[in-house]
Amino acid sequence: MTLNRRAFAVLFPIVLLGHILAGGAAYLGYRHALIAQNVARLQQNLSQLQNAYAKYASLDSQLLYVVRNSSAFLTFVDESDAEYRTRVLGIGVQDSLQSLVPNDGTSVSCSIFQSDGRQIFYFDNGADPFQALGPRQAAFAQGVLNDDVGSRTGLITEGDDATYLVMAAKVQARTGGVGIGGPQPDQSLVMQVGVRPLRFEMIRRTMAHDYGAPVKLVATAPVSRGGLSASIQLAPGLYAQETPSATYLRGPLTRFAAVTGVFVIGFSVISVGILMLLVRRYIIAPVEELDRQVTAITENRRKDIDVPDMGEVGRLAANVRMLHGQLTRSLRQIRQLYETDSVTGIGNRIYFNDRLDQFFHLSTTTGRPLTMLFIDLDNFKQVNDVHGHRTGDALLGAVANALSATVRDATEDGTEAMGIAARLSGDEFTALILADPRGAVITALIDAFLLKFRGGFRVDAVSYPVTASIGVAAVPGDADTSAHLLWCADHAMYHAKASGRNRAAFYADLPRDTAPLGGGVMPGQCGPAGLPQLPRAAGPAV
Amino acid sequence: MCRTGGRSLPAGAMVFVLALSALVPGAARANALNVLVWEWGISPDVVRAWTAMTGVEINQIVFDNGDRRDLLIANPNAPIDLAVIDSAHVQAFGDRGLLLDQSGLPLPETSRAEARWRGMCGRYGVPYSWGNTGIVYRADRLAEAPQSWGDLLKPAPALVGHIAMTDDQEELLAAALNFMGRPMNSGDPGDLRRAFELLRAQVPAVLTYGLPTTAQQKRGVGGQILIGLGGTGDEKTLNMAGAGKENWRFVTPREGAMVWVDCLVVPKRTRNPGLAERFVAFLAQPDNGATNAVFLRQPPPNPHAAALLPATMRDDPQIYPPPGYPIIYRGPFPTESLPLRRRILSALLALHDAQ
Repeated sequence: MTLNRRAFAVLFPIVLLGHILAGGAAYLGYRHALIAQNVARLQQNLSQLQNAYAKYASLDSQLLYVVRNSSAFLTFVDESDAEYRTRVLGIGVQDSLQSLVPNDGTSVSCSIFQSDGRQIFYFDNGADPFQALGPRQAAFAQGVLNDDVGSRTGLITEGDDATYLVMAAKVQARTGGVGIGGPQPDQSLVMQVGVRPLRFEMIRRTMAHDYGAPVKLVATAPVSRGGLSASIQLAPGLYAQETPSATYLRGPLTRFAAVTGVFVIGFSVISVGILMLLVRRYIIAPVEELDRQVTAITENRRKDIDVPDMGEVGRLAANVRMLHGQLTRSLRQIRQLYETDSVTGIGNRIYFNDRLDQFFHLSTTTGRPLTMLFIDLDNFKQVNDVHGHRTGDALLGAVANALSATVRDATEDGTEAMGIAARLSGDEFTALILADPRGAVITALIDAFLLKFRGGFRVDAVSYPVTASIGVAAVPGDADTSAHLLWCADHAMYHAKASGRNRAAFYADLPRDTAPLGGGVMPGQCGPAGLPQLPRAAGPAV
Repeated sequence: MCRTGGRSLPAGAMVFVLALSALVPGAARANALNVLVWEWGISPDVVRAWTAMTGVEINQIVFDNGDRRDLLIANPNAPIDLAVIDSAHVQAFGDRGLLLDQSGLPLPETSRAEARWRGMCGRYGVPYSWGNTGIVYRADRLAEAPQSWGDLLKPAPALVGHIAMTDDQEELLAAALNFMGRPMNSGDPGDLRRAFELLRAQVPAVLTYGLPTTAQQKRGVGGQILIGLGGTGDEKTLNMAGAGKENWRFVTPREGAMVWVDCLVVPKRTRNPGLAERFVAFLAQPDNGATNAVFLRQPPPNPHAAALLPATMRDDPQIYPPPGYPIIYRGPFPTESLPLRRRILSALLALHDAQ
């Protein structure tokens, strides 16, 4: 798992949980506020309902009082001739009523019941003259007539769902005075006024529609149980209560929950995104950079590690860098030991083989000429035999130093030539120089090297009678492989020895008949490619 | 029932008029008579002749609605000595004991009305004038004279918004029932329901509910009325405001002449029954009857008075129903139908107010 995924796996659940908790708290707060707001609105609606009720109740009361005290009504109830009363006097009660009804479409009815329960007058100002007093209103009036009450007010809903606010009062026959409380069927009659409380009903219907539940009318004060519910007193013993349906708040709450959910997810994503950016910038990116640098080092695309100036990652980079340095130095030492001749301190055969391939490749790809000197000391065995191996080794070391110095001198004076020196085995040395074999560099190098043997090779003020025979071969011209080049140089060296030692022989100058047996090698070209190479894996001569 | 010039007054206003009349000096004097009558219901010449002869002044208390007039008669505090009442309403007051019996009133033969009118007024009333219900219209504005109740109840588009109907439930329903071919005093709820439907359909076309003669005096309404429900003689009152132009005419619809007769009645509570009955006898005289008929442009119930009328008047189809038209005599309305009839009128007024 990458660091990015690890960081995401850690951050996202925590951030999401945090936002969910915050969203949940917001939801609960919103729900509380919504309920409080709707309770206030509910109370306002109920107040409107109460006002409407009060207006109609007031009209009822006014109509009842004024009509009951009108002379037309008194004359009407005082008249015992039923036919005359209907023909002549009824219109007077109707006029009394109509003169009081507001001209705003308010629907009003008036009815009078005799003590025996018979209805002797009915009028309403509605647009349907054939509508009679509803049976429930009639029963209400009968109830007042028979019960122990002087008057009563009530909301009555007839079978056709029309609601009436009715007020019925006992009236003393003959005198028209206030009726005596209690059932007095022989003396009292009942006058009842009914009003269609259209505005009250409209508010009630609107509330029922808006809140998804009807406005209940109850006789006792409802007990508040919290939540979204409210009640109001319309009249003594009459309360309106509205408890909206459970689905009423579901819509806004669901919308809020949905929006909150979207915001929770959105904020979580944004927060995690920002956190990931910060984590990447300050934690992951330095680690990744360190990883890239270490990877580049392991793939040899980089040499060193940059150490950032920050805390743990910086220390980690510094430690890795230190480890890398130690490892590099160790490798370099091992390699140096592996490629160095222990007797002379210059490169051994392994070193030579490696450089030979390198120089050959460079020559063939760039076209620069490569010259190889194959050097064999003359008479070295006698030094060993006379002076001992220790002296021989010292002599070999001095020759190696001389060869290295000569090569260095020849290639460091701005000639663009490159060269190395190595000991192949025993008293055999070699030098590889990227230069023309006939050029001044090679010529000067050979002369300088042979010069060091003139009069004996001196080591620590002691002169030893050794000389050097040098075979010279080059590409292009003499060979077409590195092994072939070695063979050609070796071959030329033998010619130098055969020609009297202490000299150099160019392979290209060898006569044709000097080619090795079975050769057929032409001047300017080394012998058969199939000739055995020098053993490359052999260790340096001791 | 005479419709000669009424004034639209609600019941309360009527009482107010009564109270005012009680305050005028004449009303308080013993040699004055308070007469409840339609506006322009008595010839001024006849009144002057009576006052000149007897020194007794006549205080006219006017009305334009039968129901409200009845309330005044029933009110024991209303100082009424004499009243003009539609024959259909006399019997109820007589039976209730509110009227003096006129059957023994010694009238000479020349002052006696035809038997049919005496029969309709009964023992408590003396026939005063008769006529029939019909249509008044502006002859100068209507291309064709109306011939049927249908021309009024189902008006042509040109008449929409130019119609005045009465606010008297009896006459309103009588017209509709007559158009439907039903008895004008029907108490059948089915008849009344159909009549209501007919009248309800007419509501959008109605300019005002009130007698044309009354409505014409209203500002903003008078000049717009082209046709209306009226009675014999109403065209005279309407033309009185026409500066000599006789634009208004009265026509009896072909469905029939619904004939009414107004009767003179004397309430028992009159302070001077002798004087009141003397005025009744004075009005019944042929010459006074003829003078009154010419003024009212209504036929007199007394044949001797009718004989004194000019021939042009006797032949005028605006005054006497055209020969051959069905004659329908107005009779009492069933008591049990009256509340429904009043509610029908109330409903029509409510519908008209709401539009």
